[in-house]
Amino acid sequence: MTTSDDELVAQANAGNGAAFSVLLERHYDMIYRLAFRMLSNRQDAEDLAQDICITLPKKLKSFHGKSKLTTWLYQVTMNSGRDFLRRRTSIQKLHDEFADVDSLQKAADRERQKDAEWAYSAISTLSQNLRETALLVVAEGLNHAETAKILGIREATVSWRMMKLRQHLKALALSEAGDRHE
Amino acid sequence: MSNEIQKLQKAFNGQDPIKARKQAKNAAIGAAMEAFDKENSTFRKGNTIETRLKGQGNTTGNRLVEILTLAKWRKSMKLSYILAGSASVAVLTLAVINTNQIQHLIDPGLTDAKPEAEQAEKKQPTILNDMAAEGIIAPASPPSPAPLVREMTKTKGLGSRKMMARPQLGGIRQGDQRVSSYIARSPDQPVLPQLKPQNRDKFDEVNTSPLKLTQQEPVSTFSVDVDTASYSFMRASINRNVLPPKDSVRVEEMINYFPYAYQGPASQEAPFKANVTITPTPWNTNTKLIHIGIKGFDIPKQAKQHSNLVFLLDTSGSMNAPNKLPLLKNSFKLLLSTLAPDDTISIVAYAGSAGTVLKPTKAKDMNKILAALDRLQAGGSTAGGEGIRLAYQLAESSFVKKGINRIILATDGDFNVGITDQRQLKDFIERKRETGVFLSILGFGTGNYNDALMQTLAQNGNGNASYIDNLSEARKVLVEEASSTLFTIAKDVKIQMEFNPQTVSEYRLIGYETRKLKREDFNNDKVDAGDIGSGHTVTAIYEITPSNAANKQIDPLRYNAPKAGKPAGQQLEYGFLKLRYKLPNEDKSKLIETPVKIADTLDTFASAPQDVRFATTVAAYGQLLRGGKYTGTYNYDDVIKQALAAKGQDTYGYRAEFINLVRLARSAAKMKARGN
Repeated sequence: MTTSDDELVAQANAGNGAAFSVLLERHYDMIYRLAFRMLSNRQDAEDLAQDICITLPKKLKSFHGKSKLTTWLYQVTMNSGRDFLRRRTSIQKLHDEFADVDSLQKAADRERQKDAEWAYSAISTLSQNLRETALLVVAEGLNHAETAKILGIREATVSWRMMKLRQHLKALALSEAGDRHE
Repeated sequence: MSNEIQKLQKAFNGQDPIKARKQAKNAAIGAAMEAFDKENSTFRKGNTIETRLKGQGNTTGNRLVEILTLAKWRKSMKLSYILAGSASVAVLTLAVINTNQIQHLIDPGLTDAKPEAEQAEKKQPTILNDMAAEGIIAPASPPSPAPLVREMTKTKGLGSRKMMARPQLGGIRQGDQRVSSYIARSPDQPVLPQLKPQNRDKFDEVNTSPLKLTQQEPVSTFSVDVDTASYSFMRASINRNVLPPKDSVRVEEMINYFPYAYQGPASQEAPFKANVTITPTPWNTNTKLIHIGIKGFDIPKQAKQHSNLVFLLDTSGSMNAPNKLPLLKNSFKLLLSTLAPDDTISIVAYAGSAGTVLKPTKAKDMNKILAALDRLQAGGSTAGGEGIRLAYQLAESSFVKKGINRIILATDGDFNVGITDQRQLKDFIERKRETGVFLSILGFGTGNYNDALMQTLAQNGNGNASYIDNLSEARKVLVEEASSTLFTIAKDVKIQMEFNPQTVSEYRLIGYETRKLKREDFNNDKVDAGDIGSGHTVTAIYEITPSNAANKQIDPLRYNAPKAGKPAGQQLEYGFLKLRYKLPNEDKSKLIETPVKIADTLDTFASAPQDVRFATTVAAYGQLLRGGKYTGTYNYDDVIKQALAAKGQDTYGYRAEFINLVRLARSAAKMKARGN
């Protein structure tokens, strides 16, 4: 028998460190995973996940149990990830040197499996909206209703975006096939 | 689900890095738990952090008590990490206490949300189960503690978890300090990917003052140093989570960074007073410390003279960084606020060439001055030499006979056009010193900072050097300490200490490596030395080995026994302290002398005045940063403990900041030791 997330949150918010640590143990992997999928490199993802964990003691106080804790955590991670990406791109623009460093990191990550590479290159060409939706629905395996909640959009919009995603992937597959024939 | 989506899903789930690494997870949770402790600190009002138990070597018993103390503070949560590192006996005892604590932890006080006693009771074991499920503790088996202990020592997760308590120590990725950089930023600050330019900061190599044998060299001579640049540079460096280069650490500048409430002279006639305190050495039981605290006369505000200030501002391309030109502009605005309406300001800016930005203007025309400051922009190379020449010209043109004439040079020190040779610049400034114009140097920025040149300029131009790394440092130097920065009360202050070979077998001066003077220079008024400003404090510390000490660091010579027959009175003194100084507008020096009496030695370090204890602690810290050649087993924890004990009122929070820096340095040092 396990204590529910909501119960743990209540205990943590009352100052119980044990409860808080159980929450972290339970959900860190999910936070990290989404961070990794958004940022597509391990180092940034670990940094971001740690950052999020550190802000949780404070943030948790504003979680009132209106949604599931996981939904809320997805939201928090999503928002932090967006901020991180924004910062990363603006800094890339400013500093060529950083771009070098970043490309080095990317080169290291490139050793991961071919499939994953394909997945990331496939979604990297998507618009931000589509990409986020794809991450939650396809990678995280969430249903459209929950995804809609996390992103703060209507369920129909999620479905529509998924349709767009399919079209995009199909087009991509066609153009890849075309490349091979040349 | 369509084919494409399935393919994408398969690809997503098949990748390897998607699995969180245990170390990263532990570090994150550890950091979060600290944040949690902070956030909820009001919940553990009753529990105070108990001071670390002292004891030579960690016997199991000691260690156990220590762990228990810690445990109480950490509310048992982090016990498991501590557990993993301690002796097995400790583990056994602790595990029992641990379960008790956890069970107490979820007390009814915390379960207000659901007041039914039944439910609360049920909950207690469940959280334990949860913790077990998540691998935080081993599954609890209430009847007997023994199996629990076995489980805990067996549980694999525990070993790696040791790091959690202090994620900053466990540098996680080789060659990447970002995860561990929590020590350097508060949790609210964003993670900014840091651009790390090549380190081009220049420091001259400095060798730590060696131990001297009194028989061979009884006299030690040096010039005072009121610069503080080394401290601020250390701070900037440690805030980036990097230990400062050894050669950048000048122990005396770190000590002299802090204001001390030493007793000052009664009148301006004798511009300063030397206070001598002798204490046992915290890092060596065989030696004593002679602490010399000099306090300059504090000129009352209304008696301050007119000043004629020339701001010489570096606006070269290298100054184009937030911690340089913009900080510089704001710093000068701070300084302006301290000036009297009749004071004269001029601004010279130099980049590729030097130019007068503002002709001598009265401080009451504030708008004109501010407008001139705001117009400054960074760009081009650095013709600092030319700028200095122009600044001296301006300073001389509006020279105030009975007042302060000072050039304030703000730069990152990268002179690369015009006179760039250090020696040539030094010669020029030495000649200009005769004209009565003083020079202050404010260093900015890192990465391109030329410390050696700044030191040369300040030491030869009757000036002082400070390093400004943030606006509060600017406030300290230019507002709170404006009078000591700007109003010199004594110049060419030299200290000479003659040790008594009968009572002192060895001695060494802590710091002041770059300020050493020859014995004969002490009486030579032509030889330049440091200046003391209004209200300034200067501290020098000697570590001596009394001749009756058991363990001397240098063995005595067999063929050189001390001659007997000296007057008995001299047996009562460790040495004789002499100070020489000149009044600001005089060329002949004056002498102050004080014997250092053995009878004044304090029995314990703790009984020394608070300022003496703090200065000694800073000295210890500086020595540790320089490699700790003479500090034995004394470590950063000892520094923190002593600094906390000697913090005192600390109106501006400098000492609190110091303690934090030591904590950061401790972590950075451990990371360095791990090779990360």
